[in-house]
Amino acid sequence: MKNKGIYNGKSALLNQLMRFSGFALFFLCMMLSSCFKEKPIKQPYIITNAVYVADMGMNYTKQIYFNMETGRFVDSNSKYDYDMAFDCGFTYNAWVNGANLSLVSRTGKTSLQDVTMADTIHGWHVELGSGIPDSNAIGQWQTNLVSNQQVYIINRGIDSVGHSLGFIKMQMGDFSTGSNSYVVTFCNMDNSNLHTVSVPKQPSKNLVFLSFNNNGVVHDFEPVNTNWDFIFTQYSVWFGPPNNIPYKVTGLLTNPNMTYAYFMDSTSNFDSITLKSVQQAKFTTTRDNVGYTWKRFNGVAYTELTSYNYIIKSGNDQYYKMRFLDFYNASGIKGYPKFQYYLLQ
Amino acid sequence: MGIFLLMAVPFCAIAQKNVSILVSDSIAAKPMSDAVVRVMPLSRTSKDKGNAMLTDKNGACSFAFNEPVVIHVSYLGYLSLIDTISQPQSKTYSLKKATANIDDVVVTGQYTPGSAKESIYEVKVYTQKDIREKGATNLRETLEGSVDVDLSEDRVFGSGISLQGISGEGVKILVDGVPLVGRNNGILDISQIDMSNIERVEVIKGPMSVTYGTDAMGGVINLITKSSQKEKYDINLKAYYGSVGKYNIGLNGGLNIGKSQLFISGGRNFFAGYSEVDTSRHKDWLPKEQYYANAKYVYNTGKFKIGASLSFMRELMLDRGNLQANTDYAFDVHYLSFRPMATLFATAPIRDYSKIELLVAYTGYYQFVNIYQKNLVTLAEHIQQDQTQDTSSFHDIIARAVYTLTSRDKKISFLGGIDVDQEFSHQTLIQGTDQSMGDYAVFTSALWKPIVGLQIQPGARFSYNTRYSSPLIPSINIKYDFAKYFLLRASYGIGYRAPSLQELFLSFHDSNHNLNGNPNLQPEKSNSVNLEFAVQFWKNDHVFKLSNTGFFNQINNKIDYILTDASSSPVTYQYFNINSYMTAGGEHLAEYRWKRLALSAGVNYIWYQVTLGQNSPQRLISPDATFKAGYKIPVAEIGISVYYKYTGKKFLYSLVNGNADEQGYIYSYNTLNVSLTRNFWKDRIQLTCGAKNLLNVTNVGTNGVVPFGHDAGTGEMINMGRNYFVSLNLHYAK
Repeated sequence: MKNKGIYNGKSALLNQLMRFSGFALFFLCMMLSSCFKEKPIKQPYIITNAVYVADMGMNYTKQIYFNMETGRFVDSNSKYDYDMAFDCGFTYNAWVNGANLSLVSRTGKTSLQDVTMADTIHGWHVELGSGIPDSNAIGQWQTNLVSNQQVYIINRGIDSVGHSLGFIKMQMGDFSTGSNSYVVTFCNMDNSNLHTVSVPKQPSKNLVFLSFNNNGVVHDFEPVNTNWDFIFTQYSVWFGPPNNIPYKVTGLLTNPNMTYAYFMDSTSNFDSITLKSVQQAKFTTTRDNVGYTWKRFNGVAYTELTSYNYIIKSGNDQYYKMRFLDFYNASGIKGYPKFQYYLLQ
Repeated sequence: MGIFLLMAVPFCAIAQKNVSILVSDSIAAKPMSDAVVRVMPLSRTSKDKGNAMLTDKNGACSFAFNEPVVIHVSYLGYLSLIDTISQPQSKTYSLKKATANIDDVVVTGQYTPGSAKESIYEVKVYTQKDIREKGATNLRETLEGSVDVDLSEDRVFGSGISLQGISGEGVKILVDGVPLVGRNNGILDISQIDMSNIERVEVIKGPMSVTYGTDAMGGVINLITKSSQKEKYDINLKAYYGSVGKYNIGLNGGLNIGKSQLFISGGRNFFAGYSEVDTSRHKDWLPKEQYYANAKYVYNTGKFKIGASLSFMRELMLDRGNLQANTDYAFDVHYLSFRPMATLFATAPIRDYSKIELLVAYTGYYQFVNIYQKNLVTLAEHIQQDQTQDTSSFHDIIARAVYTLTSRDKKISFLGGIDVDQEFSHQTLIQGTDQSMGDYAVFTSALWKPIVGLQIQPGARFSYNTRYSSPLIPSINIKYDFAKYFLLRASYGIGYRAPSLQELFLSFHDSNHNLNGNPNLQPEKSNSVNLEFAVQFWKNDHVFKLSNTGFFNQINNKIDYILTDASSSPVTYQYFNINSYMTAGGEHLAEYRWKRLALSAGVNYIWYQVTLGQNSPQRLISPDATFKAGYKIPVAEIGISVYYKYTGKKFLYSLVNGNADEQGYIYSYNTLNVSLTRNFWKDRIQLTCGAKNLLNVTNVGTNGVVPFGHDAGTGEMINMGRNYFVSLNLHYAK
């Protein structure tokens, strides 16, 4: 405390400078030692063997077919290219496009012209990814190939940003055994743009597709049904009881003609899974047994549950083990499922 | 210091024919600059007011001795002295602190600024000294440990506050009377409010609906920025280091040129983030970086005052994700916020006993939430192109005119004002995205002092809201000082709050939240009663103060979250009106001061009763207690402050739609902070260091059903672990 504040000449100046410099040093430390910079990590080990990436494109636009035996993506199409799909085999189910979250209202009426939106009072049916005919959205439309003439209002779904793709009135005609074709009549809700389109079954295919665009266009973009095991696509589910809402998810659906799958566990070491691990009883015909369950959304991003092990049974009784490794491409865009599988021998 | 004073005296004794005066503080024994020394000749006429002068930086002044004079020495906050000088000489005067008037000047809700004790409202003041001793850099840290303030913490929404059991939108936060906007989930993040340009914080509990708008149900926190200084210039350079990873620097300065005063401040606060178990990039307390800048200009003639202020805050908060399995990248969320503010204000006298105050202000809040994918090997990052990015902005324009008229005998004062408040918001989280709401009001009150010590202040506010019809809001405040030592305050007020735009239209969904607004909400209406009985007596240097307050708030249609879907993940909440929400409680605070010692102890308890629909009411109580001690060690001149708070088992009401209500609670916990302060180099360097959370209480467990905003899994986030800080302030004024 002695003589504080009394300085003279150079020593006072020096003293002041020293005090300032001590403070300035502390001040400087505060500035320099704090920032968001972080040190890079060492390159982590990334699995590359037997790894495949499905390019669904931004906003999951594409549907991609994959053949496990050849390890190739067989074909792909835009999920916006169709509104309905029809069985090609010995069954006669009609489906709407679950990839767009398309919904169906069964009006109970038979006059196409007279149906309005007021006839949706019976609610909407969702085309679930499980692919079980008994619970599909349109339901039983025929008896012995004779149409019940019911008019359906089809909500064509939503695009990637949630905008509606519109509504269509649709009525199935009697199945034409002569041309082996479905007969579909549709029009806008104001009865404009009325068309009747014949949709012929395609041999060796599961489904044939119809778009309501351009006066009705038939597509045959599915590969031969013995040439693919699963498709990466968006599909519809009921989300979260009790406030069930129809919801789009992104995942894998198996080929109902020849491929079956089940979730094995999340505890087994992937490398240790062998043919002995396969439990035949667990295979079901449900198409979404793999589905979207291999990833979780944590509010920020999708996290792959790489420990989730799946068993796939393909044609010719080939068994595979499969797991998922990533969902993003190198640019950080989601919709690029990366998976690994091995034939079990 | 005594030596210094002795040495200073000869400097003053310029000539034998002069009278040299030296003024010092009686306790600190420090010279007092700018003390007013009024010199009046003994032979003066009744109209002769004599000459006045100010002491210099050494506490000294002098004048030529021509005849015997009476000397009157005064300094704000100190007892004045009168002396008679009959010959040239040197005199030293030690001024004692005016211990009877230990409170600080407050302005919130006042007709004219006065002491907290004189205020008709119960005002709690946090001074710069309090802020410094706590090592506080933001409003959260300033209010931490107070017995009557409850703080909450959300990782993303930030720090919230509760007064008298009312939180969220019911607590209004003002800067110089201008409300801040930008709430997430009702929470205005008070850790974003920097203290660098704040002279003091005034906290008033209970509704102040008439003056500050009807939504201030729980209370008002008014931050007062510096608007005058005695020195020509005043510079402060501040640096703060906290062992939890806090690095703050700031510079503020004031310039006083005659009637013009200019204040500027700016700085950077950095926090590296904190996790109790710190093993990854992910932090429980998110890292953040704040930049702020403030400027204020005041032109003050003594009667007429006009000014403008600008302030700006930018905060970047990072929520870093962990390395994604089997990849080399992680996803980070960047929360970028801006708080701009601009104010124009003026006070003009109209004749001697009336004045008009005008205020026009804009406050804004922008928040951009973006998700980045970051490669942790190359550190390259890019924004998620296909991810929905969230942008929110809030704008509030207010205009206020207040006319105050005081009768010549000062027994009756009248106040009338108009208040225009227009709020705009743009939020991608809000349905409809763009929304606006206007609130236009006229308000009036009268302050009547029928007898000495008694003040009665009735008031009323009539407002028009563009979305809701609002009723006439009355209020009455009474204060009575009696028998020298006693003080009684009583108030009754009605509060009314229209649902906020967020409460109406929110749609917020992320990993931690599923929150929905409700367009069918009804406004909240409240009745509040506050009572205070205080005793304050003093003898010599001993000051003892005991205050007892009680309150009762009853809110109809209180807006709160109700659990609407327990099965979703995370569970879904939606805003609803609660039929009846009551809080009642009391606070007992004892303070004792003696020279270098200051002690205070307080107990606070709040009783809640919450009734939803036909369900039976939930009743719960939560107690708190605090103890604070401060002592300045002689010779070493080191100030020690100890803060202790016991936060009792805190019940949480849970509202479940259609089901019986259930309740959980947060276990009790203790907080202990200690700080040391020491000034060096003629007070130019102020050093504070200390320890926060000495008992190392971090996450506190919860039990039972816990409602929204509380974590049942890891426990409630209360504090960062035991940590230490050092704060340096370089101060220079002339």
